[in-house]
This record gives sequence, structure tokens and C-alpha cells, in this order.
Amino acid sequence: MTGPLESVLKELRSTAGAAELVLLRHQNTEGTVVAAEPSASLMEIPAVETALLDDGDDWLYRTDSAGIDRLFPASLRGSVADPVAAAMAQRLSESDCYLLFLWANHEPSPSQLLKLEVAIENTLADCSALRSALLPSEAGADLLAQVLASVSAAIVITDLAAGSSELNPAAGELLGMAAGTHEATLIASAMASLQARTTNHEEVSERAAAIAAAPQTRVSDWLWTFPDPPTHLRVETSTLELAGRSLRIWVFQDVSEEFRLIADLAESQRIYQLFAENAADAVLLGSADGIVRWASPSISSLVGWPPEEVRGNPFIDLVDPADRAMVREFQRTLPERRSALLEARFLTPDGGSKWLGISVRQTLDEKTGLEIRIGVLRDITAEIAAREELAASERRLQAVIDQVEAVITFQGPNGAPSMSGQTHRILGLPETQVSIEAWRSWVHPDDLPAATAVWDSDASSWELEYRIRRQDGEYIWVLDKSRRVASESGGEPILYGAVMDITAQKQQELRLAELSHELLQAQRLASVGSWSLDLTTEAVEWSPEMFRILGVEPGADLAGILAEFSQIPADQRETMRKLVRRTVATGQPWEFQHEVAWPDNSIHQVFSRGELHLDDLGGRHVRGTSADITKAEEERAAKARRVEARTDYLARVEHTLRTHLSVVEGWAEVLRIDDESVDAADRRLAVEAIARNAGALVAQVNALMDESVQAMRAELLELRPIALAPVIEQVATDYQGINAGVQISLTGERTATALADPAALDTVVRHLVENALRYAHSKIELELANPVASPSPATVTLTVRDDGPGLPAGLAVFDAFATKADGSGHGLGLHVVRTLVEAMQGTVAGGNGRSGGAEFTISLKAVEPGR
Amino acid sequence: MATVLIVDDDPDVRQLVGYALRAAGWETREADGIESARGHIAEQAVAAVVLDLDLAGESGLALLEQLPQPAPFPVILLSGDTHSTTAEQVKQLGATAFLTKPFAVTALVTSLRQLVPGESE
Repeated sequence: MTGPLESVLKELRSTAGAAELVLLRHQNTEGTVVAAEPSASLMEIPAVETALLDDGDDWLYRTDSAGIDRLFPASLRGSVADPVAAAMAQRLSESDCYLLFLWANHEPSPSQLLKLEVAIENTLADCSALRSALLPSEAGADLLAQVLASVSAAIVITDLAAGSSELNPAAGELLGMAAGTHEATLIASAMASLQARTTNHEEVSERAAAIAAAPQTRVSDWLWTFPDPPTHLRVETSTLELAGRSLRIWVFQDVSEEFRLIADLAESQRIYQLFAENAADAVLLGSADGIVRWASPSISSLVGWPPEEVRGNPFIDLVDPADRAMVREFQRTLPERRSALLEARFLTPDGGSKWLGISVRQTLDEKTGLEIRIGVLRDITAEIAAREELAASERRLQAVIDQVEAVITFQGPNGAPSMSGQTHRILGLPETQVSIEAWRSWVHPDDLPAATAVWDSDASSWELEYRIRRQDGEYIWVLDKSRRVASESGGEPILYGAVMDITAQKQQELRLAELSHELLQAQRLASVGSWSLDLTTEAVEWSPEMFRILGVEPGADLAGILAEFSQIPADQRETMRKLVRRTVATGQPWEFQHEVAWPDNSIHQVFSRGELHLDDLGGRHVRGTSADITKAEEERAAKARRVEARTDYLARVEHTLRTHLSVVEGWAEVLRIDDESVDAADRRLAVEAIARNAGALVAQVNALMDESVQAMRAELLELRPIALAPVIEQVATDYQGINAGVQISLTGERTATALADPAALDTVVRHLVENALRYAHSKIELELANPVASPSPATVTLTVRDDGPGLPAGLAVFDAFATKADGSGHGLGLHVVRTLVEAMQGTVAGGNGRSGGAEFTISLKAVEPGR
Repeated sequence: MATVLIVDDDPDVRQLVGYALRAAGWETREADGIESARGHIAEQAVAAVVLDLDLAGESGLALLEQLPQPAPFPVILLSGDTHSTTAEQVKQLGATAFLTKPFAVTALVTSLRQLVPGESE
């Protein structure tokens, strides 16, 4: 025999995928017939859910007939299987309550199942008519057993008369016994043992004693608490007279999870309360008509008004009168915007006001169906003050900008720059805005490409110097320091630029650059370099000429060389260091001539000078100059040699002249003093000696005069590229035929060009030809040779050779008045040749050729033809 | 009769000086260079030497340096160089007297007579 409950259960449990069981109990005083529909759509009816939740249980819904009507609209009734509805209708018509189980589309949790079972039990207990209908039969007992086996709660049913107890599987597990029937005393002992393990043992024992004393007591809020793991069992027990039996039913429900949730909720509530009471922001809840309905406690700390004084009052009354018009407009437009920010001054109890920022949102209260306004208030006094300070700073900045010699431009998103007054004054512009294009058109054409390249790049900032044309046409130099900043609105970047007139500075820089260039040129011409050693940082600086002075490649790092004097020979290096140390210690400048060894091992003479320099910032430097005096030293040495040779030459001339004079004067003295004693032969010898030496004197004086002229010319030579062949051809032509037996010929390279003085070269060649004519038997050969690359520098040579007897051995033919042992010798001709050739930076050599005749070769510096 | 050696590369000077000294009573020998002079000194004792400072290709001082110091006979040095050579210098080098060209023949004879007393008179 099956009852309606069984039918409903069976029907609903047969639904595939069904899970959650919803139990409705209705006091069927009206005999209403409803039907069950296992559809999730039922659970989605908010009003029903709300109503049911209001009933205090989230799964056991108790409601009245009106609630049933909301739950199950008439359209749904009768849509379930007719047998169920019919059975339900039958049974409900005979009882004062009914059960309705609904399956939803998700699996019920163990606790939900337990609650279902408790509900069943309660229902069974409450609905005596239904109970009697359900449980008088075996089927009812089966149903109960089935329910007991399926629930997660531990249930112990003790038949007090039979002395036996029935444990469902959960109760067996709780008591450590097998499910099924046991001796009641055994179960009582197990339950006592369970009680002893509770942490609230005293309370549990006391209540157990009370139950024992009053068996009819029904307990439903009894909590057993166990440690490790923390476990809470809610224990319910009552007696039940059923089918003639007196039963005590124990239901143990594990509510540990519930307790944990409750504890968590309590903690959340505590934190929320703490937040609400301590938050600086306050919350106002108002109606659409502008009345404050609720205020959080923090409104008191925010503006000084207690929440109770705020509630019920118009919001506008809290606003400073100065801002009320603005706030009214805000309120008027809020429904359209739904949410907005408001900044306004609010009145405080002391009569003052305070800046508040309010984030307001207007929304629909679903519970009441009314529009409400929720505002979060925050103190923005400091923010407002900061803004005012910022505005004041900007005003001060603008004032400064207007005073300094600078131009400020702000390139706004619209592309039009705004300029300070100085911009217009410096550029001579009227007080109107200009465009970027106009600005670019004013830039000097030579500077525009570089400036445009930067402006059109992705650079976020730059510093540019360029010339820009004033309105009057004059160009000025400006320094453009600009920064591109992303727009807060997300639009085009904004350009902030400071443009300064640096014309005067630029002119100074250009002048300085010119002076520096001139200085470098002067250093190059004078072979003088400069250097500086920072005594603090040990940084070394040098001018480009130092590369040449030290013989290193331009661009090389000279720091080490200059700081360590590493190219100066060791002995001189130590002297140099001592001098520098003395300068650093005493401030006295030093000078030192020293050698410098180039990387190619050649030695060069350098004169260095240094002094201590203090700059404006307190820095100490040793600054100095170094001059390559190698050439000057060579010239000095050459001059010394020339002076020595000249002195030697003059001594030789003096000796020669005085010797001739001695002969002349000596014989004259003999003849004057003792004329009569001199016989005729001696007299003849004397006269001949006088005549010979007097003639020699005349010839030598003439030669001396000629040599002096040539020597003076040698000092005044003007060297330039000379084609040698024409000069030599002219000399050969002039002397051709003077000695009828001697032929003069010119051979070799006719295009040879050398550095020479034309007149001096002519004299040299004539002396050589005249000398050759004195000794040549039949021919004189003048041979020009092509430039010779080695030895460097390239040279052009002229060789004059004759077929005479050749030069006597051991005779210094280029010395003045060189004579052989027999008294014969040369005059000054070859000496003049050497003097002039050396003055033309050439060399001359004399010797005998292969044929035995004399051979003189002069070498002059070659020059490429046409240069 | 004492012999005076005349050393000069100029034959006219040797001829003049030789005539003057022979007229004054000395015997004379002539040399045109140092090598020749050393030969005369080695083969015959000389009472004095009249030496030209600037010989062809060599200096008369070389002969002075080759003589024992002090020299065993007076040396009268003749020089045409009045700038680079001083009497003091040549005396330090061993010369007894120094005459610059052009010189007076009588001065030479007088000097020799002072240096070689009792001779040539």
C-alpha cells in the first residue's frame, strides 16, 4: 500500500538528474489542491524565493496558501503526472497538512538531506492524520527504514518497551557500532561514552539527566561539541508513540560546517562593523526627493553632525549656501547621469564649512521598487588646498616667465601655441597667436633641416639651438628646450617649450670658436701644443698639435703619455717630474728643454713650459705648452756651423792676405833700409816677389769682394721651383767657344725641376763651368739627373765633369783659398759654390770621375714640374 | 854660426825671411811643412825656428806639440790670424815669441838676436 508521500517521493526520485529536494508543508485548512512540478523554473521565481527565505529556512519552505499560489501558479497546476496529483489530492483532502517535494536540477548536500529527514520527522510528528495514514502498515515501516538509511544524520530509535534500539548507518558510525538493532542498554552505554568525550561535558550530562528524569521532554537545541577536529553535533530527541509502540528518537546532526560558516559570518560582520565605524568616508542613503534616509556613523567624524540629526533632513540643507545652486543643478541632472562626482562645501556645526567630495549613484531599490541615491563622502580639504597652491604656483611661474628673458610656448592639442609676452617681445611679434607652421617658416634655412628632424621624430624631449627670424627680418639665436607630454585626455601630446634668446651667448661662442681656431692655427704654425693636467681628477687635456709634437697618430689617447712623461728619456723624465712637483708646491712656473722619443725612435727636441692654474671653482691644474724646437735647434746648429766656417774662412783669408802683405812689406823694408847692400840678383828677386804678391793681393781682394757679395746673396735667396735645364743651357751657351779646344755639352733629363734661386743657381753653374774650363782638355759635360727618391727627400742632381787632371788628393777644394803644398791652389770659386748650394738647401760634392777628370755634383730638392 | 830653421808653406815668405836672417848673420834652413821641418831638426841642431802657424793643410802648432817641453830652442811663431790666435795662447803652447803678419823684418831679426844671444853679430 502506498501513501501520497511515498508516491511523491518515488515519482520525484525517478526524475533523471533531479537533485535538490524541496519540502513544502501546508496547513490545508482550505483543502487546496496543488500539484508538484519538478522544474527548476519554479526556483527562479524571485518573489517566491524571497517569501520562502523570509520564512527562515533556505530549503524548507513553509508558506500559506497565498505562498502556494505564488509558488505554483494556476497555469502549472495539473501539469504533473495525474496519478501523483490525484493521490495527493486524495490524501490531502483527508488531512490537515500535506507535503510537497520538488526536485531541482542539482544534487542535494548531505545537510540538506538531513534537514529533509528532520522535516519528515517533524511532519510526521505534527501531522497526525498523515502519520496515521502513512505508518500503520509495513509499507510505512519500510519507508521509514528507507529514509533512515538514506539520510546523513545519525538516527537512533529506541523502543522503550522492547529494550532495543535501531541505528541507521550514520548512527552506527558515530557510536562505533554496526547499523541495525542492538540492546538498548548497549546503545545507552555507547551514547554515555560519546557524551563523556564532549568538551561541554557538564552541560551535556546535566541535560541528559533532565531528559532521563522527564522522558517526555523534547529537545531540539542541544549541542554536543568535540575537540580535534572541532566538531559540533546538534542533538534532537523526543518520544513518539507510533503504532502502539513507545519510541525515543535521537537525531545527531553534524553542524560543524554551519558553525564554521556562522563563525566566518561573525568575523565578516565584525570586520565590516570595524570598517564602517572607522572609515574616513561616510555613506549617505537618500531618496530621489533629496531627503537623507540613512547616514553612516562616520558622518559625525567627517562633518561633525551626528547621524540622527542628518537623517530625515533635505540633503541641500547640509550644503554651504554658496554652493547650493550648483548642488541643486547636480541633483536635477543626476537621474540622467545615474552616477556622478560632486565637490561642494558642507556646513559644520561650528558654523564653518568643509570641502567634501561625494561619489553619488542613483539606483533602484528592488525591494521597495523606489529610486534611491547612495553617496560616499570624502574629505577633500587637503586636495582643494593643494589645487589652490598649484594654481598659485602656476600664477607665480607665469609671473616669473613674464619677467625673464625667455619665451614659453605651450602647444595645445588644437595645434595652436600660446606664448608668453616675452615671446612676442623677443620675436617682435604682435600679441597674436601663431601656428607651428609659421614658427618653422621663421627658422633659418640652414638650421631648419636639423630642427625639423628632431621635431618630427619620436623624441620626448630635446634641446636645440637654431636661428629664427624676428619680425624685423633680423635673425637671433635661440635655445629651444621642449618636452612632449602625453595628454591626460588621451588626445594629441602637448608640447611644452622654453625658448631663450642666446644670441649674445652664441656670438661669444662663435668668437671663442674663432679664437680657438686661430689659436690652433697659431699652434700649428709655431709647432706649439698646449696641455692641462687636473690635479684633482687627474684628467688630462691637450691640443691637437700635441699629436705632432709627440709623433703619434691624431686621435690617439695622450693621457698616459702626458701624465707619465713616458716619451721623455728616463733621466730627463725625473727632472721633469721634479719641476712639476715644485710648481705644484710653490706655484713657480718651470721651463725645460728636453728630448722626446717618437714611436719611430727618432729623437726630437722639445721646449716645455708649465705653470699652476687655479680655476674659479677651486680646481687646480698644471697647464703648459710644449714646442717642437727640433727644426729651430737644427737651424741653430747649422748657423753655428756656418759661423764657425765663416770664422775659419775669414782666418784663412786674413792669413793669406797678411802673408802676401808680409812679403810685400818685408822686401820693401829690406830695400828701404839696406838698399845698397842688396845685390842685383836679390833686388830682382825682391821686386818679383813684391809684384807677384801684390798681384795676388789684388786678385784675392777681388775674389773676396765677390765672395762677400755671394755670401750676402745667400742670405737673401728666394727659393722657388726652377726648371734647371734652361739655366744650364744658357751657361753652356755663354761659355761655349771661350776655350776653343773644349766642347761643353748638356745631357740627361731636361724637365728636372728643383727648389732654387735662379740667380744663385746661375752663379753656381758658372763657377763650376769656369773651374772646369781651367783644367779640361777637350770637353766639359753637364748632366742633369731625374729626381732621386732615395735618400729622402727626392733630389735633382747636376754633375759637371771635365777630362782634366782631376782634383789633387787631400785638398779641401771647397775651402776658401785652399792651396796645395806647392802653393798652387784655388781661390774662392768653389767656396762660393758650396755657400750658395747650401743656402738653397742643397749639397755639393767634388771628386774625380772614372776618366780621371774632376767631377762636381750638386743636389737640390726636387719639385714636381708645374708646382 | 847658428842656424835658424824657417818653416812656411809660402816660398816668397821663406825667401824673404831667409834673406833677412842671412843678412843678419845666421845660417838658414827652409821647410814648407812639418814633415820637412822635423827632418831638418833631426839632422842638424838649430838655434831657433821661425814657424808659420798656418801651413798648407796643417797647423804649425803640430810641430810645437811634437817638441820637448820646454822646447830646446826658441820658436818664433808667425801668424796671419789676428783674431783666433793670441800671443798668450801660443806661448802657453811652447812658442817663445809671436809675430803677426805682416811683420817688420827688423823686428824679427831683433827678436832672434834677443832669443839667441851672441849669435849673428
